[in-house]
Amino acid sequence: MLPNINRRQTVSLLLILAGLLLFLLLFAAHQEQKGVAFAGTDDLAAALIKEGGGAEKRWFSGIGEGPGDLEGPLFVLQAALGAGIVGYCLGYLQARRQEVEAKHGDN
Amino acid sequence: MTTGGRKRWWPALAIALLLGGGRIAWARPQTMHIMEGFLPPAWALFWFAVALPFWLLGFRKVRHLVQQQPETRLLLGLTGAFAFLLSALKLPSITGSSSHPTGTGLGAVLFGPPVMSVLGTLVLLFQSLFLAHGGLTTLGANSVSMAIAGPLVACGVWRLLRHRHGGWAIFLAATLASLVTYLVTALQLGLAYPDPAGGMLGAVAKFAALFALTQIPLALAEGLFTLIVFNSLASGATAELALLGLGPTPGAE
Repeated sequence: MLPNINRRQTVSLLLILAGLLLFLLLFAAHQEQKGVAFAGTDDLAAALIKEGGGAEKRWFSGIGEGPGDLEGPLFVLQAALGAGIVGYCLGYLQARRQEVEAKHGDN
Repeated sequence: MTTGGRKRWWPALAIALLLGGGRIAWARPQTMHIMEGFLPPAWALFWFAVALPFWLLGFRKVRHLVQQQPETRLLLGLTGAFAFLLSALKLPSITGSSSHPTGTGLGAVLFGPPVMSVLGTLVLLFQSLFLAHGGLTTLGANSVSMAIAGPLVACGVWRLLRHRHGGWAIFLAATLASLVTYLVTALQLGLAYPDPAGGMLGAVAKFAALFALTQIPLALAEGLFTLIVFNSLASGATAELALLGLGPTPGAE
C-alpha cells in the first residue's frame, strides 16, 4: 500500500519538518553563544578514544591535501547539486502527471 | 508544452536555492563518518571484505536496471541525488554535536539494498576524494554502515509494514535506516577501540550513546522528508513504481 497523503497533510508535514529544522538551528545558535562548538560526531569519537586510553593511530592521512577553505563551499555545491537534481526529477514527474490528467480530461 | 516546461524547472531551482542557502547558513566543515586512517588496517580490510559482495551484487542490479528497465533511470538518478543531498546537510543536534542524515532509505525501498550499496558508496567516494570527509581506507566501513546496514534495515521495515500503512512504513524505514547507520558506526569503532574498563561492549555503548542520541532528531527529519518525497513519487511515478513492484500497474483494475 503506497502512501496517499493529500495536499493538506503534505503541507502539515512540511511545516513540522521546517519547525524541527528551525528548532535545531535556533538551539545551535543559542548554544554557540555559550561556547558549545557543535563538533562533528567523529571528532568527538576521536576524543572519546583518547579519553579511554586508545591511541589515535592514523596510519594513512589521505591522498594529497584536503580542500582547506573550499570545504564549506564544496559541501554547499554538493547539497545544491543534489537538491537541483531531486527538484528537477520531482518537477518533471509532477508535470508529466498533470499533462496525462489533462489529456484524460480532454478525452 | 510551454506551461509544462515552465513548471518543470522552478521546483528544482527553488529547492536548490533553499537547501543551498540553508547549507551556507551552517557551513562549518567538519566530518561525521569514520575519518581517513582512523581504523586499524586489519579492521579496514575486514569491512572492505564485508562490503565487497554487496557492491558486486549491486553493480549487477544497476546494470540490469539500466539495460532492461530504462524507464527507471530517472528514479535511479533521483535516488542517488537524494543521498547526495542529505549526506551534505550537516545539522546540529540537541546533544551539542552535529551530524548529517544519510538519504539511503528512499533508495532502499525503491531499488533494494544492493543498488543502494553502490549509490551510497559513490556518495562516500565523492566525499572522501574531494571533501576529505570520511576516507578511502575507511570507505569499506563507512559503506557498510551507511550504504548497506541502513538500507537493509529500511528494506526490512518497509516490507514488514507496507501492507498495513504505507506512510508509516516509509517514515519508519527512513528514520531507522538513519539511526542504524550510526549504531553500526558505533559498533565499528567499539570493535576497533575497546574500552580499557568495559571492553568492546563498553566501547560500543559509549560510541552508541554519542552517535545515536545525536542522530535521533536528524533521523526523524529524514523520515519526514523521505515520506514527502516518496508520496510525490507515488502520484507522479506510478508507472515506474509498478515496474519496480511497488504499486499497481496504471490502468489495471
